[in-house]
Amino acid sequence: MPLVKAPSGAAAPGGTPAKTTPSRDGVLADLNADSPNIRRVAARACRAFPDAIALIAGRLEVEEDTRVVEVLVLNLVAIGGPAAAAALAPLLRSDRAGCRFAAAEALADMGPDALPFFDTLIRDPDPQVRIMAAEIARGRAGGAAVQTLEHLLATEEDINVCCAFIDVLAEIGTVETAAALVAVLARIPDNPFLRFSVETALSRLPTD
Amino acid sequence: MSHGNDAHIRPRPPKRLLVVDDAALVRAYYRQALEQPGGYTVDEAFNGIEALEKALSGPYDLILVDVNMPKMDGLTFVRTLRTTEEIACLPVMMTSTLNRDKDIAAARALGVNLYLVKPISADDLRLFAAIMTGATEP
Repeated sequence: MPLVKAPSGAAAPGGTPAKTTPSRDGVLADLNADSPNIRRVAARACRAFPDAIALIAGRLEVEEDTRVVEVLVLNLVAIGGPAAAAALAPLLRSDRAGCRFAAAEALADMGPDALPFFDTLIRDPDPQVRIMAAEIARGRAGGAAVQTLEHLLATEEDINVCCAFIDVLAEIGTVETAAALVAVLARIPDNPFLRFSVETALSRLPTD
Repeated sequence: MSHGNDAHIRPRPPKRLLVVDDAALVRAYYRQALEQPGGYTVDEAFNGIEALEKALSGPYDLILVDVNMPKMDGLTFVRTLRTTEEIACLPVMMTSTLNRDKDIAAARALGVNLYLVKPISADDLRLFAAIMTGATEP
């Protein structure tokens, strides 16, 4: 990785070499390197620049190596804020499975900054996006996300989306979630997987 | 010795399957469908990394794997499996909500033997598992 070399002889007190700062051009070049290891190091270095979110988002659109994607996404989580969440949200539509899930997990880790995006993505016309958006709610036990999933479950037509919501609700739902589960089973009584999902989820919900 | 021919027939051990899916309800559904008396022995993994570890400590007769999973997705798992000598030849059934032609083509190109779109009935799961493992359908 090309780094801007410290001036000859420059050293921190105590003999430790001065910390070098990678140049923006060097990092950009390394982000497009053939070697995933070089790209991964560059992905870590991105955070030092004011336009880090744009740099990371741009690379995420094309990056195929799972480990590099992970570093880029973790950087966005570390940067935080609505702009970082906005860079992650479109990745739920990515053609790359690793990228989709990494983005959903990252949004789940971002807390309140991700909620506006969750509210939009969970209502997306594409069922695959709704399935991935449900992952953002995982870990938000008892909060507004639970109520959103329960509310949407009442009208959701896609069986796979219903089951994705139920899988998450089984983990984060409350006593009140049971009514939503019973209702979806009454609305769609003939699908064996949905029936199994509801019955199993009901057995896992808190009872008081 | 007065043993008849039956004395030499030993029951075959049940076929051993590895179910890989991050959704707990899906894993439980597959287990219930496949692990019946006279059926299959089912192990579970939560993602591709855990699945690789279990596959290497197998042996397994079939791996059922989802696409969208944390840490290592199903496609990356299959790509890695097919390039890992000890387990490269394991049959893989991919089960996913993704139903576009390009999703299925991508999976097949990586070496997935059979691609089923969710939701999958218990009967279909048993039928295709039997075909792919050479087992008598339970």
